[in-house]
Amino acid sequence: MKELTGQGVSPGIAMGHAVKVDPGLPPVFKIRLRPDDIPAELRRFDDAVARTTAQLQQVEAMLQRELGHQHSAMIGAHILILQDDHFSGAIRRRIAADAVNAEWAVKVVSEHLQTVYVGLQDAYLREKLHDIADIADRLLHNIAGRTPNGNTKQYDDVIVICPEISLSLFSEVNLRHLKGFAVDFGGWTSHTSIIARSLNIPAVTHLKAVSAEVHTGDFLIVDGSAGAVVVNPDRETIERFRHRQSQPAGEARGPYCLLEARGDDKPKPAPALGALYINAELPQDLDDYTGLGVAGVGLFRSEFLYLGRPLDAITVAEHESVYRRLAEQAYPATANIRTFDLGADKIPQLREQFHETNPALGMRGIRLSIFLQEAFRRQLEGVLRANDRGNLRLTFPFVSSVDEVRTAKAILADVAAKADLRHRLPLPLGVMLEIPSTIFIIDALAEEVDFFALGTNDLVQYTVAHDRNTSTDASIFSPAHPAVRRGLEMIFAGVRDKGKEVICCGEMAAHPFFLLLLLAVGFRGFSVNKPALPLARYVLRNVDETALARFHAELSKLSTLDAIGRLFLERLPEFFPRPFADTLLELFRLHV
Amino acid sequence: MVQKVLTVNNPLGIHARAAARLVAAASRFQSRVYLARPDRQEQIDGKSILGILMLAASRGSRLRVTVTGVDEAAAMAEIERLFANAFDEGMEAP
Repeated sequence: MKELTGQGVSPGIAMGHAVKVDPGLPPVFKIRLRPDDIPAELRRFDDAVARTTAQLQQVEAMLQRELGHQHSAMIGAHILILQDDHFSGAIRRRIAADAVNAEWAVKVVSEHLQTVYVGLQDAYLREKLHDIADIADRLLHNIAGRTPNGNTKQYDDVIVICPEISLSLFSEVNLRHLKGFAVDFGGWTSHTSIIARSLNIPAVTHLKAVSAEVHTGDFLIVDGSAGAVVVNPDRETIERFRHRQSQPAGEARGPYCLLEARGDDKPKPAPALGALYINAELPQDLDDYTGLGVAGVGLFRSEFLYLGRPLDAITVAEHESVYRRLAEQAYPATANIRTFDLGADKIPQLREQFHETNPALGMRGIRLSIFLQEAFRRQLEGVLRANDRGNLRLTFPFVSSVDEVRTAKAILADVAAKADLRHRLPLPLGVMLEIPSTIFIIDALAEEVDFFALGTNDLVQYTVAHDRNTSTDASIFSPAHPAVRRGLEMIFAGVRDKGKEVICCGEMAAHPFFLLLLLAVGFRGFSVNKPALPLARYVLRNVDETALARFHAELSKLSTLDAIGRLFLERLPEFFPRPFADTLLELFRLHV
Repeated sequence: MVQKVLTVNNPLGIHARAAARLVAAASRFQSRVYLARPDRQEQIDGKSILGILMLAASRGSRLRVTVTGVDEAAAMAEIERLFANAFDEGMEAP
């Protein structure tokens, strides 16, 4: 039995079998075969094709179930490519004619096909070469007798172990069997942590060497609340965690459960200090919307539509149907749709075009939407069409200048004119405040838009130039950096002076320490992911305004992170009742 | 043998999903299915997704479809239906 400690990024306890996700493939060598070895090599290849087909069919069925036909159809195309005479037929012929090993034949044929597709004019079809590379990779894994991304189907209680969680992993692992994550790097606000929280899957990051120390098949306990992982626990430890797991309340899942036990998570009228909205990643996040007791959908991240398929494949009709459902669920409250926040580094056909050395500062968000205008236009038209009830709002991500806002507005006006949808305007418009430049031009931006959505994740990391996935105490606590607080104060004052509205949508609002900080600066609108709702609601109901003002005054005098951290620890028990404050301190002890 | 020239009219042309549907339709029949650009002699096997993708058939392009075999009439009818319905794109709810 061994215990590893890291940072809990998604609360709860998970138990299950470790499955290591191995990103690398061994290098491929050319081996010349004797003629009488060729039949056996062909059988080895055919077996690998059969296994690959079976895996793809499983992924296809899973995606069909979880995300619908639009997403699974791409896998269907992969299966056809795998079985195509130009692909596996050509590989078989190559093995036989050249008397070479299957690995080498796969490499030669897939590289040849990729060069053919590079020559195609159509950017969309050129993207197929990445599909071919994907399929070849998967096939090579199977020829080597390994399952790509670990053999996850052996177990029905999978704890994924990897250096870093990637988004594509979610399409690989059967979500029903996925119980938890234990990851070497990553942090509270990395995108996968956000998704783990919205799927309620316990996750611990910053474990540094878990992927080296744990082997596939080890039994693990992941304590996402305390940020700990127990490797091969003894019977007694398992019983102890089972007991905590089975308890509806208490310390087991940190303050989330504590609140459930007190009944504080039950939806009630608006909390005393500010309005609480929900952030959604997927349409199904809102399935139980009416029971959540929120003031609306503060941020609907539309990127899931893109997951696993080309941007060009998303039609106006599809946008419209997703947003209409969203509008109906939220009605009569408003739902705020953020247009695609994608980076060129995530889109195969653009990756080559831009060769970005620093994608975080590159072609992404509204810049990419303006550049790839057709996809953006289809999204805008879908929003306009879906807005029958007039309760939709629109937010542009990653805005750095007034110019971008004007261009985006002009595109919206043009889309409305061309699609005969001018009667759907004006649509309430907002921009994300997530690039530090917006702090300094907040007055000018306020002239352009109706509201703002504060994206603290990027705003913090760009302000302090500290990657949020970097594993240092300073980066974890940087939302409390004095420069961030001053920036937030400037934003708050600028928005208030122009009489506009601002909702804090970033992870700061989901974290009780930093929610206090946002409240102290003056913000009163917050939007968080579903699992964070009870905690945020509890904070908003229980915080005393006079204490906040005092806290703000004290914060303003401090210049070091160290002193600010200590102030948080001292003041927390004054803000919240004792057992709750203690649980919070314990839960987030790694943060300070 | 039956032969017809059909026009691609879905917005994205014959991309992967549309090609997958075409392969699935063609594979339901015993007959052999060939596709070609009208200005070229080179025939593509209608049951090969990579072959079809290589045609790079964008919206508005015309393809010569040749079907030969015992069920050629039914196969051609199904392929014509697929072209006419823009490869069933945008028909299903997301």
